[in-house]
Amino acid sequence: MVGELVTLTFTVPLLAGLILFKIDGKRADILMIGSLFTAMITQFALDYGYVSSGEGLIHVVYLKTQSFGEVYGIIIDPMSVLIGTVVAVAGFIFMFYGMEYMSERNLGHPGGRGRGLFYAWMALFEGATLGFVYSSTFLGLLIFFEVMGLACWGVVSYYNTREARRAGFKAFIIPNVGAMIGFYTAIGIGITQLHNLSLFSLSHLPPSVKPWLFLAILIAGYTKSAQFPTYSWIPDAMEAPTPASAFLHGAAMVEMGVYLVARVLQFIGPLPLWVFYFMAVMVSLTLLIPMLNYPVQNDAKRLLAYSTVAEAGIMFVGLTFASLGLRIGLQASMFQLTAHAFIKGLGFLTAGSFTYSLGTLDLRKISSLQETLPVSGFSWAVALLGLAGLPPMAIAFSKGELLMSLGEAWTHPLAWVPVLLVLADSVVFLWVGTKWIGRNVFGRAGLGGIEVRTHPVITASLITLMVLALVSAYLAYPLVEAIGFYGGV
Amino acid sequence: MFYPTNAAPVEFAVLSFLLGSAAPLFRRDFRVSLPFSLLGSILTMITAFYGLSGGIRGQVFNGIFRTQVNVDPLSAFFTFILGLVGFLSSVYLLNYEMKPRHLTFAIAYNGTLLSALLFLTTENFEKMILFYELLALLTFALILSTVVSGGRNTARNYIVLTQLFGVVPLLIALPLTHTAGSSLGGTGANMAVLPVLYALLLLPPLVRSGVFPFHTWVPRVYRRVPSPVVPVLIVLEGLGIYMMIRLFWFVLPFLRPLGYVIAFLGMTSAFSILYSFSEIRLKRKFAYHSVMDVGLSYFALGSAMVFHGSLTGRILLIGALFHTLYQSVYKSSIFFGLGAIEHYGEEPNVCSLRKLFKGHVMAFLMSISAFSMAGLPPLAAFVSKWLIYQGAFMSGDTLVLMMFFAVAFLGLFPFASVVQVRRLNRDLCKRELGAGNVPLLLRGVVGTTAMLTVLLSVLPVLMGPIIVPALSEITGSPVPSFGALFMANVTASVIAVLLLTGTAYLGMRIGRIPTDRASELLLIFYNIGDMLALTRDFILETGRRAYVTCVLPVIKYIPRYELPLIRDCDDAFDYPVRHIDEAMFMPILRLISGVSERAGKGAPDMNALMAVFAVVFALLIIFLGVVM
Repeated sequence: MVGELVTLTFTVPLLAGLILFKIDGKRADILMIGSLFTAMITQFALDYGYVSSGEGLIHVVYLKTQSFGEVYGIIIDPMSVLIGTVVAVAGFIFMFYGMEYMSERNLGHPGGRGRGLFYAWMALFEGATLGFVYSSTFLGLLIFFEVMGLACWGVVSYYNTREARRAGFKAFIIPNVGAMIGFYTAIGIGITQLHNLSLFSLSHLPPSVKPWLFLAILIAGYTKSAQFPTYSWIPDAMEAPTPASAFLHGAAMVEMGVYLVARVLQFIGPLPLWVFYFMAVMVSLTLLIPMLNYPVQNDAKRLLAYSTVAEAGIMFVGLTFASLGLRIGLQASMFQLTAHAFIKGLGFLTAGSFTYSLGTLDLRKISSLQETLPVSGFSWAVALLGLAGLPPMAIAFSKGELLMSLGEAWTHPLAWVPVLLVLADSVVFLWVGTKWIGRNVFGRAGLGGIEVRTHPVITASLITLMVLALVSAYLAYPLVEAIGFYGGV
Repeated sequence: MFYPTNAAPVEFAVLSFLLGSAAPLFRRDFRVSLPFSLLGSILTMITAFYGLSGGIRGQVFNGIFRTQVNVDPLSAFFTFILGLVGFLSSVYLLNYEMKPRHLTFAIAYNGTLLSALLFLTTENFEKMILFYELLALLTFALILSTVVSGGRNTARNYIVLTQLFGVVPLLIALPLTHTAGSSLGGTGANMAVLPVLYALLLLPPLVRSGVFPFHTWVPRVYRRVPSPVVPVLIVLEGLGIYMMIRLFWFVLPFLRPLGYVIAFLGMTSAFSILYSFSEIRLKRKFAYHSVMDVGLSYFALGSAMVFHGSLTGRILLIGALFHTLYQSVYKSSIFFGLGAIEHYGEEPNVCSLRKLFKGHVMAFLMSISAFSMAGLPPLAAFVSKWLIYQGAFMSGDTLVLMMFFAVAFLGLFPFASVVQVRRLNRDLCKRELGAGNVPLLLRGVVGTTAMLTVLLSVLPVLMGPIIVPALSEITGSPVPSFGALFMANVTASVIAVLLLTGTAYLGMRIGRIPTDRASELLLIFYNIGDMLALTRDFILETGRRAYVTCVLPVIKYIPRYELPLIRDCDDAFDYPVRHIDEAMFMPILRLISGVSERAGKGAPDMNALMAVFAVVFALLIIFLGVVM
């Protein structure tokens, strides 16, 4: 039963996406939101079915061949259920907001006709992401990975400006390079050495091959998650409409790079210590980049984009410890992913409300939000303080969980470097964030004379995300605690 | 959420504060939350009494918020101070005129009292960090909810300081302590990481208490927030002392050199009294006094650590506890008095005292508290300093004595500062209008705290029930009678009393010297202070310059000739971003770009080409996977 629900969860948006290429207007609104709502409800039913079944891991094989073993299949376990729920819920909220954002009432980007194309890409995006989350083979992962990349290109270049086309191209090509290196190596090894493409077969790899396959997957993950040295596609991808940016950053592309590496770590078994050192160095270099860039960002979305590089880096810090076989590193990483999805979504949707109501994303031009747009002002403050890691936002608890994971790894001196950088990043972001909160929320009015209006859909989305940004830690924790390894670590 | 455990008083206090936070949702007036704050504070005091009488163990909340509480005599001592000052502040605020952001203030005020209570009663290090963080955050909200635009920078500096030097070291220390278990009652961490732990755990209490070099937030914040809120912040300074004792007496093994470091930092903080002397704005003046008082407690605490296990150590420790309690009470009384000036819309300065309160009972009550602060015999600070001075003399340790003489010298100035206020008041200010009837609750609270100050100092034995169990717990041995403590060494005791009396007399003389002349005499100290401030500014400026000159050209395309024009980050906003990865991969990107351009010439639309490429790519993979 849960297997069918999984299939339904990702096929409904995928099919709706294909249809949406051909329709527009109100009908497109209804089909898009209907498909995402169905996906969310199906996901809830799946959650209920999975939790009430009491089973740890459910593996459903869809296609198996003599030569390649399992070719297509799904895995339902605490990790996929948790992340699947995050994707379905966040996707629905972002696009519920997106219906109003894409309307002609948007001051900065008046929409209206042609939004069906955007919805099509977004529905495909969500379907592919959900398919990716549940896939049990490298082939399944690769296909959904590529569809995600394609959808990403579609949404980023949607406005069809020169910058948008360039950013879309970049957002497509960089993760693809990673995919070529990572997935083709994995599939090549699967075909030639294991005769099985299933993730379950990873633990049977010879120890001499294991780290190299993992390294290849790591490169795919790094490119997808905008980690050093391929981070810049994500700030450039800000050309996308804001709901797409929120999805890209909060629940799809960037997070799926982390998820991919986490998935492989679950199954691959013990890795040599040098992998840990490699990951620690890479994540440390990644964390340096946003820290240096925060102070000179005046575009709300770019500021959030650099914070995404850092937050994904924090997830990779958890995975760095997981590579040592520490279960809590894996859990902390997924906990961070969950909490980050909602707080980052809140940040982006608030930035979108600036475009919608004020027609600008330039933070220098935004002030006195507490009077003009109180809900946006409050949510901007909550988002920035939350991203800086302050409680009571859920992300503070996920970062706390990550720091605890170091307790068992302190014998490796290098383990300190990324953790110190995580903390330094939080402090720098807090410094910059409080500066912008002071100017944007409390600053004196600078947009004199402009009548500021918002919409109940936008307000409702922001309030919902604020609540989720507060309670997601509490809701997610039981599933986070159940996440573990399957590869005999 | 709540369970009938032994922690019932804590649970009810928590519930009360939570209700107080939510109360303004129904009526936008912070005053509707105050009855709950009052009740919560009373329950906090009841918690303290239970803690002193037999201890409290139990849990509050459930799920991931579950918090184990353990109220032992040490917790109870500080919890009592919290409850007392919280109660008085809440009563005072009922009659106090101010216009904060009502809901934010109610959440922040009640949340601060709640977090402080849980900080004092939790027995888990992780939760202690959480409540430390919540305290920082809620006091930040408290400042923001009451200040106008000028104070927001103060609030911002405060929160960044507490995060950088308070929370971050705690978070780094957390995994280290995990190596030895998270319980605060544990036996300590792995020996190899101890030096790092000492360094990390030293900073958060210093930040919380506003001890040098983290004292900078105290005068700025106290000046900005309404006076009745300051007593709560003063109690929170005491929480730093609690944290210091809890961590360094109960968790980590003793380290004598650390005692010297703490004593030195305390002694250095005491120099802030010289800034108080030159200040005419009363809130800043007494804020600097507060830094000195906390510094004195830290000096005593550090010295007690040096002489841990001896009678000298015990005398110094009890001196530190006495001083912490006294200063919470008399400083609260003074700030409640200043609040009465603010109540009439006046800025509390030297003249507004005379203007409003000449011949008024408020002036009398504030004078009592000011004399208590100045250490006039036999008032509060005199009693605690007696113990501290005696302990320092008994130590016979050169380093401690050197620091003590500096502290004793600075002891001239609290009274000089008070005399100076009276002199300036008489010479420069006119009585323009009277305050008339100060609202009853305001008068009542100032009167209560002033009387309490006198009562507790004249009869220190009254504090026995709360201070003796705490001291017994810390030292692990029975505490001698108060008489034996004050006269532990007759010679040292007599010298201490003579010194205190002498400094009071000399302080009076100094206070009568014209301020500019006194300032000239103290120039060398101000110069040292200026040098420290310059050093701080130099470090910040160097960091800023390094960022502008070294980092900006790497992350932004800035023409070299325009670089000198860039003063700070805001000037660099409009320059295009330079992506480091693009720079690294530029040769490959150029190749791809060239190929795409050529392909673009042959195809009508680049986007379509990309889409077709991707679909073909995916089909190829499916073909490889299924058919082959």
